[in-house]
Amino acid sequence: MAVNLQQLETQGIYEAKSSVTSLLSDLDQITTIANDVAARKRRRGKAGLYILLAGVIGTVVGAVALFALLTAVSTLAIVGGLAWCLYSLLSKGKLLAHPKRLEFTKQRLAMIQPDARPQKPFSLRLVLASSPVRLSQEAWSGRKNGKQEFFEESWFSLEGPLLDGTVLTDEIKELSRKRTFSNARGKRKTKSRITYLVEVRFSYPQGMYGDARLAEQALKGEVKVGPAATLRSVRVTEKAIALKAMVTSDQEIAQTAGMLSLAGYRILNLARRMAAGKRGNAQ
Amino acid sequence: MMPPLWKCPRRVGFLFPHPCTRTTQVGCPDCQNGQIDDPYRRRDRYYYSDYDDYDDSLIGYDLGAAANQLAPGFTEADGESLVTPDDGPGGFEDDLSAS
Repeated sequence: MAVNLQQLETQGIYEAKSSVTSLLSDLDQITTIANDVAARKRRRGKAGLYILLAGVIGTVVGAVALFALLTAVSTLAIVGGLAWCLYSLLSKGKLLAHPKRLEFTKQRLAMIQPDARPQKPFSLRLVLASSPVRLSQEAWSGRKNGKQEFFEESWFSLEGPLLDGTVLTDEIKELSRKRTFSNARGKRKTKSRITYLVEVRFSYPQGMYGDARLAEQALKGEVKVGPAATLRSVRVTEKAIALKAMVTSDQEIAQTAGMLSLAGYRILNLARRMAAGKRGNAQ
Repeated sequence: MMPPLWKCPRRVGFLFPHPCTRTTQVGCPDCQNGQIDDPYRRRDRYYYSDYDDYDDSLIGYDLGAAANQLAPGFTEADGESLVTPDDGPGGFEDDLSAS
């Protein structure tokens, strides 16, 4: 499937509905494009550095030789080279803003691939550029002139059918808090904290699994999420299992999504056995 | 050389077990050329070392007692009306005794 390059480059968003294999292939293509952009950026940075160096040498030579024109041109080269270097360093571009998001998405798709229906389409939305939405803003009494803002950014969503007829839905949100205040010297300071909310949901076929609430009760809430994550909720109904966890490091998102999925299916696998036993007893 | 129409008898999967659909075990990353009898059980699952093991008492869990503890108003008829239709076997394990 062809990647919508325009949407990717202008908005930093990749949206597609296709098989897991095809999505993975697209993500490889995006990785190649991102690597090309990064290489171009490095080349630009180097060019800026060379211009800067030439400017410094030219200025010195111009000053020694009392060659005013060379000094003037060299000074311009220093300013231009410096600006070019800074631009290359600071302008990340839409594709390079969050490389870990791309890595996570590949990991997550590879994780579910063994259990996904090979030919059925999965809907994927991946936001590679930052686009946080401010949820609230309020005064913060903790420090002088304190103010705090809360932001939310949903940057990953995935939905599609697994081999057993269950529909998997994933969503990752970046939740950030930004606090600004004045320190003892009167300087304005900003501190940010980021956490990630990982949500995994399984809408399961009741004909196969029965009522998963019975299995959840039998397991007595046994849900493992790993040491880096905090379990927020496990909700089991007669139709679906929804699990949420928070992580503070983006390195841990893939593992947390995996652990939540395993926790959900630990319940469902037991539910399937219980439902099979119930059917056997009924016959 | 595998005989024609050979079907792998092994279970595979990360979240749940299903039959392997490969027509040969040569180069198979799951069973590693037939070296692993049950790839599903042997799969690495982070902190779950006992993923496929359930206490025997859980399988025979008292369904009647558990159902009574659910939200009031839940009946078998309610459950029937909320069945999510399964769109065909699609390779998912039908033989439940195998898991």
